Amino acid sequence: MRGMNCGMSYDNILEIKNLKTYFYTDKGILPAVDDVSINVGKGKIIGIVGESGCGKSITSLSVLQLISPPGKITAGEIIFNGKNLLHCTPKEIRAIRGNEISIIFQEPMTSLNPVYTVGKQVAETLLLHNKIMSKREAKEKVIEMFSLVGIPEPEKRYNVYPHQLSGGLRQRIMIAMALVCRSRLLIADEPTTALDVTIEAQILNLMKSLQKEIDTSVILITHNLGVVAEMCDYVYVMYAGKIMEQADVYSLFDKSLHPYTEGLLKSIPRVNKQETESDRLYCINGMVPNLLYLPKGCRFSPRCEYAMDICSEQEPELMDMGGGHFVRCFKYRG
Amino acid sequence: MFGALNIEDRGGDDMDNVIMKAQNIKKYFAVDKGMFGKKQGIIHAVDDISFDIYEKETLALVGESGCGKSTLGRTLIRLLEASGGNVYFEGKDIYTLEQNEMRNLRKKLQIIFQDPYASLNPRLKVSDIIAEPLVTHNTAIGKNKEQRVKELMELVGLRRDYASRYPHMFSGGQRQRIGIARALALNPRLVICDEPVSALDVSIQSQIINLLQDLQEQKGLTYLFISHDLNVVRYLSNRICVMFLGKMMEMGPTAAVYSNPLHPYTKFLIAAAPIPNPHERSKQKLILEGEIPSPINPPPGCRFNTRCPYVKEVCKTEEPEMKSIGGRLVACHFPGL
Amino acid sequence: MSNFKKVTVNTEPDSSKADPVTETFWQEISRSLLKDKAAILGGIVILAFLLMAVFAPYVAPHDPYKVSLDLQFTKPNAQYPVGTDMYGRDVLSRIIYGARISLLIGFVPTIISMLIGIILGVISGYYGRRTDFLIMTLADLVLAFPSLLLAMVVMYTLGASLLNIFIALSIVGWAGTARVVRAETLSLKNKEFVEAAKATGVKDYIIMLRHILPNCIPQLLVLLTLNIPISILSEASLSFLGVGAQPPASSWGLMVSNGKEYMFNAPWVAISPGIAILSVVLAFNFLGDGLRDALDPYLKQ
Repeated sequence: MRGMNCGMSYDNILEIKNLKTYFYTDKGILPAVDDVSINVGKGKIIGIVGESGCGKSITSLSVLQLISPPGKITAGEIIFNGKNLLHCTPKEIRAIRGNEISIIFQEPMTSLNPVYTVGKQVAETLLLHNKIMSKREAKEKVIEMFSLVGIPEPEKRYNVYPHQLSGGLRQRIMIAMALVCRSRLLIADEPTTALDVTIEAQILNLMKSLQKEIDTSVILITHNLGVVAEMCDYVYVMYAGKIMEQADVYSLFDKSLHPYTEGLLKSIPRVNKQETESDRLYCINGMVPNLLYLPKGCRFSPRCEYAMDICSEQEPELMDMGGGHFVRCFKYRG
Repeated sequence: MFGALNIEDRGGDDMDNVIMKAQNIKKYFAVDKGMFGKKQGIIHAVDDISFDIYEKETLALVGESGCGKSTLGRTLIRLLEASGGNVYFEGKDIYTLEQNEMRNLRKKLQIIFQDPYASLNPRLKVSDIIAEPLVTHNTAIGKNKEQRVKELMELVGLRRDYASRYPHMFSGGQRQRIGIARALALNPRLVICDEPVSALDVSIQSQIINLLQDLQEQKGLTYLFISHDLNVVRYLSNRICVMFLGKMMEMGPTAAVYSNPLHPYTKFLIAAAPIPNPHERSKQKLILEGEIPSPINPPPGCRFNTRCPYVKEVCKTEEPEMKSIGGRLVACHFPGL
Repeated sequence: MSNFKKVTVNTEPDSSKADPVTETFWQEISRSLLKDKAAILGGIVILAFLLMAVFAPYVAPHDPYKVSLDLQFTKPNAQYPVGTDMYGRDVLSRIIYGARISLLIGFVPTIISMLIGIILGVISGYYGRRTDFLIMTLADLVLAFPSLLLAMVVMYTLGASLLNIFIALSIVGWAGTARVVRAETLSLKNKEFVEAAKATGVKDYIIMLRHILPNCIPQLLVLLTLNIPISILSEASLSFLGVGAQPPASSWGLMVSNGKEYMFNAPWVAISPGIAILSVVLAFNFLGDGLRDALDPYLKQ
């Protein structure tokens, strides 16, 4: 059965059901997101992990309807707070963006307008969604938010331009902008990938504490399994547009089931490796497939060391392994 | 307890041969306005760095943005002209060599780049890219050249029949392989690896890391491995040199430095890398506060003093000297705190 | 001979279909261009005029130089499809032969001026500092002058002849190309593949020829399709002002100039060469637009 809940008894703030976002290019159809279902529990941090081309970013952009042609959401439902976002009018979606659902991206420099001060930009977001608030009130709230996200001397920083700030500070501004309206859901797309490692540690720490304080739900998109292990409650592993495995974070790392997940975990070098381990890293053979030329059957089969005949003929379904752990692999056929 | 410092720990048999000696390397950039403008400031990208590189080892240069590691790597092979210092290779100070002599020496000093999409000329076929070093130095022509190119492609795990393709027809990982083949065309002795896997997908990184290790073993290469990824560095390197704002903070055998970092910065750097194990998350993490300072007009005293949680008065006024502690080097007034 | 553990070669996806990833640069450009109808039309028109110019003796119905005073200002009819001019010469044949001169003036000075511009631009961008300053100041000086005025000055000094038109237009035209090439060079010279060439010990001039210039081709192609019509129009303007091609050579510009006095009684004498100019210029513009769209990813680099 395709049970899609996380296996735990809390409500969901967002439910993505069988989402398909395809790109219609002149070279063919790219199934960037192919029948993806994701549940985000209230107050939880959900991780979507995968490599380039797996569709994780497109999934998040689909939630906020930020997909432009030749991309198109062709099927599925996105239920937020009981409403299907795909049936909302553009006006309704605009009211939700930045307000109830916010998103922060990898490169804060390109998300911030270079000709306005950072304070003004964050205040603008606040005023947009709170028409009755005065500008002075907005400024106060913004400075409060700056302080909450750990920006030193927040009153001074209100009047500063994006290029005058470091990468870490800019990302804090983005987080401030995302949370200033007390969003119910924050989508963070590779928020720390472009940051130095000590700054990354700060930002991840900040996100964790803020999330608890404001009780926002988070979708954290990353390719870094270390970040997933640090931050997430429940994880979805995507590959070539499909979800290959999903489980709570402990099960995923302790008992990963899908060969791809297993391969990823074995191939990362670790800081605290044991001296006895061999010095050679495990490799997953081959490369991520071109979405225009997907292999027949399971998308991972050409690279899989457990591949069987059936794997190159049929695509496996997502199977319930119990305890909220689902996997898409013929190894676990009943 | 300091880690074991035997030769065996450092790996390799020829470890006592110094292949390159860098002394007091400095590289400054002036920030000025055009032809007639005054200098606004000086970027101390690399500020008095000295170390030896031993034959067949992998020495890692580690640090965050602005630490100068990439700049240092380039000045060591004179891709950038240093502002001061000397680099000795094969008995000669390469900073004093004439153009032609230096050109000849480049056969032995090569570099692999970070960005697989910018490190290959999109208008040249792969065979031409790999053959360029051979053509430049007249090492092989005609059929010999073709043969050598195919050998190199095989060496790095690329199919021979891809020789007439263009870079855009390859994936990131394959392009890195092409870059590696090019670097190895003339059988160099020392290869600077400037973040060679940082831009690659996780599942490809391990392929390239293994490839680099295999090639080192087979060809007896020496690597200067520049990276900000501590996990990768831990795997590949024999010795590690930690840089901050143009200065060396700590240097020593990798195992020892990781198990017992002496410099506060090293400690925080190692602690910052997210661990791919959810069970470790409950442990209290060491978080380094503060922003990375700008390399323009660095702070007086120890460069790290503005971020160091253990900072004392002397740190703000006096620059610490490089101390030798149990065979390791640390630049800190209070190492091992 | 290699006894180390061979790294596994990448598994290739099933490439039984023609994989567009194996398209070369030129194949990709052609494919994009062929989808643009305006560009195709432009290309056909240019080709038509080129063929017309080359095969003029076979295509032209009459002798363009034959004077027949009794046939002055014949209205367009079956024998003289575009009528005759003030000397009874067949206008159509004069247009056909005129294509030779006008197209020659379109191509030759453009190519020469672009070559000058490419060389100066890449040297300026690559070496920077004083060299850059000198060359760019010179370019600025040239660009600051109204180009037509500069060309006229050159023509007055050297005298009006076809060769001098080439010289004049080349002197005036190089600066724009130089600026574009310099800009491309500046952005390319810091790319890692250029660093790689330096690290290999490749000589400067080879780096410029092998690595930098080929990557300027997209920009240069677009410039070419823009500069050719500019040249044609410049020549037309110069001829109109009396300092361009001289009789008995019949460039289109000269035809328009000579025919302007008779606009009311015999408009076809001036208008038809004007339409020829218009067609060629528009054709190049359409082709240029199509090229720019096809080259878009390369131009945005």
